[in-house]
Amino acid sequence: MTLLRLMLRNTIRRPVRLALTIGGLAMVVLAFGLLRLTLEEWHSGVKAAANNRLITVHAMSDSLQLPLAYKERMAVIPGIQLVHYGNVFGVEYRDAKESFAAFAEHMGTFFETYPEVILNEADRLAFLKDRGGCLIGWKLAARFGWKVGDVIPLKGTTHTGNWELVVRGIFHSSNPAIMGEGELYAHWQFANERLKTTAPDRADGVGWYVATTAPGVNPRSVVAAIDATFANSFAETRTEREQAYIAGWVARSGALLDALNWLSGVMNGIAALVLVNALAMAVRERTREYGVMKTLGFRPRHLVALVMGESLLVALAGALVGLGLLYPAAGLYAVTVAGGKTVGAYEITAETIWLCLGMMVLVGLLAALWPAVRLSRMTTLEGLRHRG
Amino acid sequence: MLWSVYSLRNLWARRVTTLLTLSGLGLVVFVFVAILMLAHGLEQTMGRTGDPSNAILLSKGALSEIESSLSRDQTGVLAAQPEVVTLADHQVAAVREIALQLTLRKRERGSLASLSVRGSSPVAFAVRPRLRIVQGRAWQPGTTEVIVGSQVARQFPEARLAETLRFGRREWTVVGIFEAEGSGFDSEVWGDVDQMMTTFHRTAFSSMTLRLADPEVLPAFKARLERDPRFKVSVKREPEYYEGKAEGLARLIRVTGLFLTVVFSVGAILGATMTMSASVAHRTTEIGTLRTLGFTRGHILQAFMLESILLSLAGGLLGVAGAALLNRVTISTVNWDTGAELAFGFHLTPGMVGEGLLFAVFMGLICGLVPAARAARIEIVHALGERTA
Amino acid sequence: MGDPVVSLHNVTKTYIRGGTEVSVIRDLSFVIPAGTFLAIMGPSGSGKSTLLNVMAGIDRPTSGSVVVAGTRLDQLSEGEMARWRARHIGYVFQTYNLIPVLTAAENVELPLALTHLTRRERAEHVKTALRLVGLGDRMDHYPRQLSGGQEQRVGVARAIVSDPTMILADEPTGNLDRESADDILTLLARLNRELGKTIVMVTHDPRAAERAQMIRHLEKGLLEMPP
Repeated sequence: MTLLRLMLRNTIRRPVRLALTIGGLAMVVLAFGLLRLTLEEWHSGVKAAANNRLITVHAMSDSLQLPLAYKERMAVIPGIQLVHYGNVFGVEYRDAKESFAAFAEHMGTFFETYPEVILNEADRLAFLKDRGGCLIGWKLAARFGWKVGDVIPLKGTTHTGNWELVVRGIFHSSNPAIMGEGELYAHWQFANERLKTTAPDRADGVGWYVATTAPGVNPRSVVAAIDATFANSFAETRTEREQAYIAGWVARSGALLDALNWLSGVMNGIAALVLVNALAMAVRERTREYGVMKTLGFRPRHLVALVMGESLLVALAGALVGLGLLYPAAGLYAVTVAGGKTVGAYEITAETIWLCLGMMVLVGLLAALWPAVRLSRMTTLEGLRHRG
Repeated sequence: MLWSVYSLRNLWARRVTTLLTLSGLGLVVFVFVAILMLAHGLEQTMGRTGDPSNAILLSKGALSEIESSLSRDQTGVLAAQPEVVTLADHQVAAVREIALQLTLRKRERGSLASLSVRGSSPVAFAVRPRLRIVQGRAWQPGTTEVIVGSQVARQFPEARLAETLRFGRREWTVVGIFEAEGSGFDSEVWGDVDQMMTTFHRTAFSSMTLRLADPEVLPAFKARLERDPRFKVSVKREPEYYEGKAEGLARLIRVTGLFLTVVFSVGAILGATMTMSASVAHRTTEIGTLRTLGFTRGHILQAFMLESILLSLAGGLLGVAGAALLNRVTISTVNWDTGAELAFGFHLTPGMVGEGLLFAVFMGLICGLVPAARAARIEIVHALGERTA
Repeated sequence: MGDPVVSLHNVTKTYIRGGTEVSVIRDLSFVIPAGTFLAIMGPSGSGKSTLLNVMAGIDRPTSGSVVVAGTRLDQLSEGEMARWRARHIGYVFQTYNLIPVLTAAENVELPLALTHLTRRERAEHVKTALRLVGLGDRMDHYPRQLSGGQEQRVGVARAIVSDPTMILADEPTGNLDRESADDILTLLARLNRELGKTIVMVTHDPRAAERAQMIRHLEKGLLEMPP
C-alpha cells in the first residue's frame, strides 16, 4: 500500500529528530518502568501470599507480644492444621549499618508452615539438631561471604547480649516475595532461654502465630474463630489471612505509594508532550503536502490515519527502547535503593511490560489527536498556500 | 539587547512548540524541586525532633525506644547525675517514658494505621520547652486524659479535641493538641505514663530523656554512663537519635528522586534539542541573511544559545512555581525504621528555587549547544540558495 | 466538440481582506466543451487561479452554480467533493508539489491508493503514465534527484494516472526554463490531441497560452468574451 509506505517514509524522514523523539520517549518509559517496579515490589508480597496461612498478632500492636500459651488453645480450633509461632530477633553484625532482618522461629513447625524454603535434607537435619544454629538466605550469605559451618558473632538489639550462631544451612526460596532470601532464622527456644535471664518479663512471648488451615476449610471462618477465642482476654488478637496482613502494611505506606502513582501519571504527560511536539513540527512542515493530497482527492480520514500511524509507530519504538534500557537500569536501581542492604527482586513482569506498551499506545493516540484535528479542519486551499 | 528581542520574538513566533518544550522542561524541574522539597521536609521533621541539650537513654544495644527497657531502679540512679538541670521546684529535668506502637483501625475508612503513643509525665514540657499546647490543656497525671500532636489530630477524626480514643481496652479523652515545630512528636499521642504502664502490663520504661545544663558535656556524660557496668545503657543526643530513624524513607526518596531526575532530564533535553534543531533548520535563509548583513558566526551562536536558555529558564520558572504549590503539603506514611506513622511535608527553601532554576539553565545550555553550533556553521551561499517552501 | 464538461453560471467569488470585501470573480458564466485545451490568461490578481480552484472543487464560489463533469459542485459536502476530485480531476501545480519521501513511481501511484485497483493494475497504470511523460527510466528516482522539468512531468503523470475527466494546470510552466516548459506544453497538447483530455491551464505567459486551442483573458474577475 502506498499510504503505508508513505507513513513509514514520513516517520523516518528526519532521522535526527526521530532519534531524539524516540530517545525522549524511551527515557520516560524507563522512568515509568522504574516507578512501576517500585510499586510492584511493594505489592508483590500481597499477590504472592499463601491462602491457607493466617497471621495472628496482638490486637493492640504488632510490637506487643502474645502469651506462649495461646498455641495450645489455637491448635484445637476446628479447621486449623498446624500452629507455628515466631518473634523478631533483632541483631546487627559488627555495626548498625550491617543489620538485616532476623527471626526466631519455632523450628518444630517452621518447615511445614513455610514449604517455600528450599534446603537440602542434610542441612535441614543439622539445623534442627543444633539449637544454637541458624539458617540464612543465600543473598545474606553472599552479602557477608558466610558459609555453612561459619560462626557468626551478632549483637542483639531486641535480645540483649552477644550471640554466636553457627550457620547450618543456606536456603533458597521458591517465593522470594513472601519468604525473603536475605534473612536469618534462629531457634525460638534458644533465643527465649537467654531472655529468661536477661529480660524475664519478655520471656515466653510470641510476636506472631501462623496458623495453617486444613485443606478444604474456608480460612475466613477460622479467622473469626481465632479472634473469638481470645476476645475479652488480657491480650486480644487480630487475625488476618497472610494476604490481608501484608496488604495492611502496604496500605500504611499509602500516601507514599499514592505519590509514586501520581508521579507516574505526570510521566505520561511528559511523554505526550515530547511526542506532540515532534508530531506538530512534522505536520506543520508537511502541511503543503497534505494540501496536495487533499487536491488529489484524499479524505481527512486518510490524513488522520497517516498521522496516527506515524505517532503510534514512534511511540511504540520509544516503548521498546525504554523497555530495553529498563533491564540494566532496574538492576542498578535495586542495588542503589538497597544501599548496601539486601537487594530486592525488582523483577520486570509481563504486567509492567504491557503497562508500558499500553501507556505508550495511549500517548501515541493522544499525541496525534491535536495535529489530526488540525489537519482534518484544514481546507485544501489553506494547505496548498502554506509556506513551510 | 537586540539579540534578546530577536530570540524572544522567535520563541513567540513558534509559540505552540515553545509552550510544549517549555512544559516538558518545566515538568522536569517540577519533579526535581518536588523531590528536594520532600527530602528536605523529611530531614526537617526528623532533625527537629528533640533538643540538642537533651540526652536520651536506652538499654544497651537497643536501636529504638520500642526495643529498649529501663527498670524503675535504674532510672532513679541515672536521673541523679550532676550534669542534669534541676528545675525551679527542685525536680530533676528527667522524664521517664514508655513508647508504644499501636495498631488502630481508622474510624472513617476502617483501614489500619499505626499510632505512636508515649506515656510521659508533666516534666516532659520542661525537658522539651519548644513543645506548645495550642488547644486545650495538658493531661492530669493519674487520669486517662491524653494530648495529641497536630498531625495526629489532622489524620484521625477521633483524635480531635474532646473526642475519645480507644486503645488498650480503655477510653482516652483528648484534652489538648500540641505542636512541636513540625517535628516527629507531632505524630504522637502523649498521656500519663503510669496509666499506660498499667494498661499495657509494663513494668519497665522504654527510655529516659535528660536535660543537660550544658550541651557541651554530653560526650563526657555519655562516655561515663556507657562505661559504667551497673547501668547497661546507651546515651545519645536526642536529635541525633531521631535523625537516624528515617533512613529507609530518606533513602527511597533520595534514590528514586535521583533516578527520576536524571532519566527525566535526559528525556527533556532530547525534546528541547529537537525543538532547537527544528528552529535552526527552519531559519536557514534567515541565518544566511544575517550573515550577509555582517553578523559573525559568534553572533549566530549567541542568538541560538540565548533562545535555548530563555526557553529553559521559562520552563524552570514554571516548574518551580508548580513545586511551590506543594509547599506545606504533608504526607503521612509508615516509617519502616520504627513502624510508626510519620507525617512530613514538602518544604521549599530559597536555595531550592535557585537550584531549580540553575538546573533549568544547565539543561538549556546542553540542549542549545549542538543546534546553535550547527546554525553558526551554516555557509552563507548554501543558506541563501536553499528555498524554504 | 462534445458536450460541456464545465459550465459556470453567474459565479461570484468574494474574499474578506482587511475588513473589506474584494470580488475576485464577478458574475461569471461560461461553458467548456469536452475535449477542449483552454488557456486562461490574465495578470496576477485577476482571479484566474481562483477560477481554476473553483473548477477543481478545492474552492467554493460565493454564489452561482458550478457544474463540472455533470455534478453540481457548489452543493457537495467536503467528503463528496474529495471523492469527486479523485474521480474527475487531475491537477498540475506550479511548484510540482511532489512528496519528497516518495519516488517518482510512488508519487504517481498516490492517487491510485484511492481506487480499488489491484497492485498489478496500479503498477501497470503507473508505468504507462510515466512512459507517456517520457520518464519510464526514472521510476525509482526521488524528486530531489530529478530536474525541474522532470519533476513537473512526474506531476503531469500523477494528474493523468487515474484517467480523470479533466486536467487542470495552474501555471504549469511558471517555474521552468524555456526548454522544459516547451516539453510540458507539448506533453499537455499531446494528451489533449491523442487522448482527448479536456485541459484547462492558467498562465500569464502568452507563449504558453499559444499552445492551447483556445485562449480566454480574465481581467478583474470578468472573462473577456471569445472573439
